[in-house]
Amino acid sequence: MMKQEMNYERYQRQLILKGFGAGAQHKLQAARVLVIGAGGLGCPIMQYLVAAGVGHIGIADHDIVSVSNLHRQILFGIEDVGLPKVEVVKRKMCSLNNDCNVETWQEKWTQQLAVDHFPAYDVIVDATDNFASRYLINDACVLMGKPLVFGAVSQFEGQVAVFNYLQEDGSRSVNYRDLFPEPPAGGEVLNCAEAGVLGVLPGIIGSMQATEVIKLLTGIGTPLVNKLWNYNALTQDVFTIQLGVHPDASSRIPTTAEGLLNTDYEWLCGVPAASIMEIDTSNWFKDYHNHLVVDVREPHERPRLTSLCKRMGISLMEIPLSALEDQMDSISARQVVFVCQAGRRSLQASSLFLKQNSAGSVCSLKGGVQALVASNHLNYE
Amino acid sequence: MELLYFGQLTDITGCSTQRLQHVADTDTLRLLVYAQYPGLQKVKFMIAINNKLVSGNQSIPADARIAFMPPFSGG
Repeated sequence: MMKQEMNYERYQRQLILKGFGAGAQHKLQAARVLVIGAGGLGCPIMQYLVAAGVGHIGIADHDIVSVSNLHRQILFGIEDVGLPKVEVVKRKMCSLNNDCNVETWQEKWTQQLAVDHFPAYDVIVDATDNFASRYLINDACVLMGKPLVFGAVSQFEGQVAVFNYLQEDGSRSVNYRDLFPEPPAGGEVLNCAEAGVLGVLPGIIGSMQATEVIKLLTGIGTPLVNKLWNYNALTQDVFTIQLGVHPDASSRIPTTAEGLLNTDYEWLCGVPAASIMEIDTSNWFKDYHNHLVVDVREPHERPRLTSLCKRMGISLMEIPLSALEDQMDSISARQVVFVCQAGRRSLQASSLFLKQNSAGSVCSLKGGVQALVASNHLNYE
Repeated sequence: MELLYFGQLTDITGCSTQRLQHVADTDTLRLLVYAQYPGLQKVKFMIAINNKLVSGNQSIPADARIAFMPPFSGG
């Protein structure tokens, strides 16, 4: 529980900062911050906020810790693999600073959770890894009048912004819909599992987000409002874009809680329909070995499926996703398993296939080639 | 005129910067880059002229620096 007495020794290094002092520290202690996503971004955000003395942190993540998380989610160790992320987070945050009260949700964030819990928080932090969650959180923040600290990464680059901030004139600053009024099509933008990410990058971007949260809560400095901050780890270049209101943005945001609850964000963001079957590697070999396999990766991606398919007697075609629409006619089979590197592009390929072959039976290999490697059916050599 | 490509757009263009003769407006520019990189037609990005986000068709001043910025989803 939050303690009333301030621990001066603990916060001494920030208390002596010009413009910070006991006043700012008390504001942190009284603050409630909700961090959605306990992954690459969420870990440093929570660590810095809890260490800085934020009094109450909410954290939501439905996932469990996996080995492939560890290169960037440095809050977790090998002994945590298989445990729910929020359980590990709660334990580590309490040991980091017992002044902080930690509230957890081990579930995927939904509109209902936003309606129920956003009112009790001062700042919402988007540390998720998918567009359905990002648009849901953005729209809910606009609807419910909450400032949103946004951060996202892609390979070697990251973006940070503060959205929906209450400005001096009483209006709200721009939100994510002013940048991109409509979400991209499913599979159009590759996620970290598909495209890769340098482990340190979400550490940098998450730390930037934590900085913005502390600024919002204490009132120090100038928040990153009406701006998008872009960072490139390969060049250390920073590129800031001045944002403005987009004429199409506001009409797309639900104006009532009911409207928010009735919006299907997964559908809007191209999350696959039920008619596409996601199969795992053992299903594939057991039940779908007579289906044609179409590898939709680019030619340079490794390892290839050639020798595995030959060994298993499975027919294989290689058509990169970018060329699939044009070459769909070359697929004569009606029973197809699409495969890619991590199972995301293959979902997009499956919906393209279904558009043109509504009677076909289409599967997408869950986890893609990475799952085949993890199950020792393939290796990188 | 200098063009800057960000994020996974560079997978399509194969470069992060490009010099181009001045064109009048962003619609004309879109057609030019679509012709050179057809893959850009299939993805979302916003356009910033001299570090300022623009929407709709906007005229392009001389020696402008134009950024093409896609949404990032990773976290």
